[in-house]
Amino acid sequence: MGILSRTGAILGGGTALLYCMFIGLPLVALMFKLIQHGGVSEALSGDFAVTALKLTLTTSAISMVLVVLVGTPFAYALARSNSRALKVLDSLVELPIVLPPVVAGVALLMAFGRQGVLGPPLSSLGINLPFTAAAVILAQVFVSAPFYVRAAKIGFQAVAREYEDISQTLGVSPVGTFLRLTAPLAGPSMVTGLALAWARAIAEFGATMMFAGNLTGKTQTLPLAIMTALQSNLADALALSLMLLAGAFVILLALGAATRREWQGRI
Amino acid sequence: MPTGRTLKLLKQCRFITLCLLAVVSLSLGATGCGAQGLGASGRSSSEGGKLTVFAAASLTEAVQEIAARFEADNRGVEVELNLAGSQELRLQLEHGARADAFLPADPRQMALAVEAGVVERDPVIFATNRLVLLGAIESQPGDVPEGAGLGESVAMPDGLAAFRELADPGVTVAIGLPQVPAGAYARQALAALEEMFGEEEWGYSGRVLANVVTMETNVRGVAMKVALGEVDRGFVYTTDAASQFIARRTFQVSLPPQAEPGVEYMAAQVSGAAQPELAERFLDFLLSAAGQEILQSHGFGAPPGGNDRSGARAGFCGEQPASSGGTCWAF
Repeated sequence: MGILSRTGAILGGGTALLYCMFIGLPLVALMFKLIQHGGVSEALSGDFAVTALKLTLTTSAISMVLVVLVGTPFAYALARSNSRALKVLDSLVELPIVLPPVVAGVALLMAFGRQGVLGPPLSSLGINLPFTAAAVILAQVFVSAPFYVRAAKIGFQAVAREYEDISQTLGVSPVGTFLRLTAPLAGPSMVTGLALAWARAIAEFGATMMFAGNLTGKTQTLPLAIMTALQSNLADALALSLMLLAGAFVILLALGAATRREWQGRI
Repeated sequence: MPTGRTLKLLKQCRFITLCLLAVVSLSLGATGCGAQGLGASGRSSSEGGKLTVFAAASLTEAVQEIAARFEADNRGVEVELNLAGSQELRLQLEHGARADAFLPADPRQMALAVEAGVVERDPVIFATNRLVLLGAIESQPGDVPEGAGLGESVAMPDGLAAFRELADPGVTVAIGLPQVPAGAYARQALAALEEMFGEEEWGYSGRVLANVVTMETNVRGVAMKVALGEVDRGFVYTTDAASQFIARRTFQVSLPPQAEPGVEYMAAQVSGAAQPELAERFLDFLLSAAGQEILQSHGFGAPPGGNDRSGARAGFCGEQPASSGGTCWAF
């Protein structure tokens, strides 16, 4: 017992150190190089950095609203239903994660592009999706939704069905039961999934480049701005990367704190 | 208690998703930096060895064929290609990527590389190209010029209608980033067209740039978006439309000679190349009759100074402006 726990501690501590070094080193190196290259101020004062940041935040926020609105009922259905079709769907949810992002972008063009399957009907309605901010949002939803759906589904599965049954026999409506019992219990899962989906959405690059293009102020999100800066100037690219990292850090911390405070008492 | 289970599942879920995220971000990083890893192997024997060539994206098919021929002619030699926008290749070299030869599509990129000290100081022009306007056949069936298709150049009725149309509202245009050679040449061509049009087309270049919906990191990105029919027009090199996929879906319009930028491809040995001898031999092969034949079969033009290497060098480095484009790059 004593030996085992010591081995466990060594193994746990060792791998934790290895993990932190491997993941941490590139991030620290990024900051170090940035300081070496003369700091953040110049690049970040540039118009296109702020424009890209604003666009990234708004598009990813809208994407997350869409992901939660559609993903939550879908995840609940996956967790509760016994239908065979949903079981098959369940194993396919992760497919967009496996797809290389550029392929995802081509697929989106094939579906919603001007020459795509839905292109002609959409354009007859006056809707033109490729190379617009809407395309940025579609690309983000496409690649990030699986993270949320998967996590939320596991959260819902962990809520015992009996609780819901009891709640409903006590006269609470199904929707009320979901909102007041199931969702709060599955909350940490849902928030974790949302954080991952959101992180993936702001980092989205390949599908956006293909489907939405790269135009400052219209479709150039932070990752695309970083790539554009990388074509000529490493310092700008580093500064933008740091901006992305800092923003993500703040939001992940806030989400982490929120999950802990809200739900810790209840489970 | 189900609550305990919930926690455990949550932890598992978080762990799995975190792992997935790590894998995704790692693979993203790997694709971005893959080229940095391309290095010439340490062997420096003149017999055999690995030659690493960084070549402009527009050279893709031609340089692949040249590499295959070079391998066939030099037993045991293996040519590794890194194909991307010239500006990206240059930045990779500046940040320590190992290579033996650098073949950008723009003398400006070569000048910057020389300035940064990452290539030897005696670059040669080994080919020329022509910037053209590429149009999607499927995008606006109404205005496809007669006889368009199969990648052939099309003579417009008054020669300039296709270019005037670029400034019309609603037309979508793809172009390279200003740092990308094809993007720089396109902006040059637009400025020249604006000068030609004069007051007829006030603010022409600005109006065309306002129609740009995407700026690509290399010329093939422009060609692909036009060929897919998602963007109406784009500026590419005539050689980019040679592949069947693109030729079938697009038509080309030649620029008026006054507006045509002189597109020149240069080659230089990378400083500190692991295979200096092989690199030298590769550069010689580019200028040899066999190398030129391959380049020309892919639609590239001969270097202005003729086919022999000293001639190309003299034409390029002399005090007089080079014959095409009216520019000379002195190093």
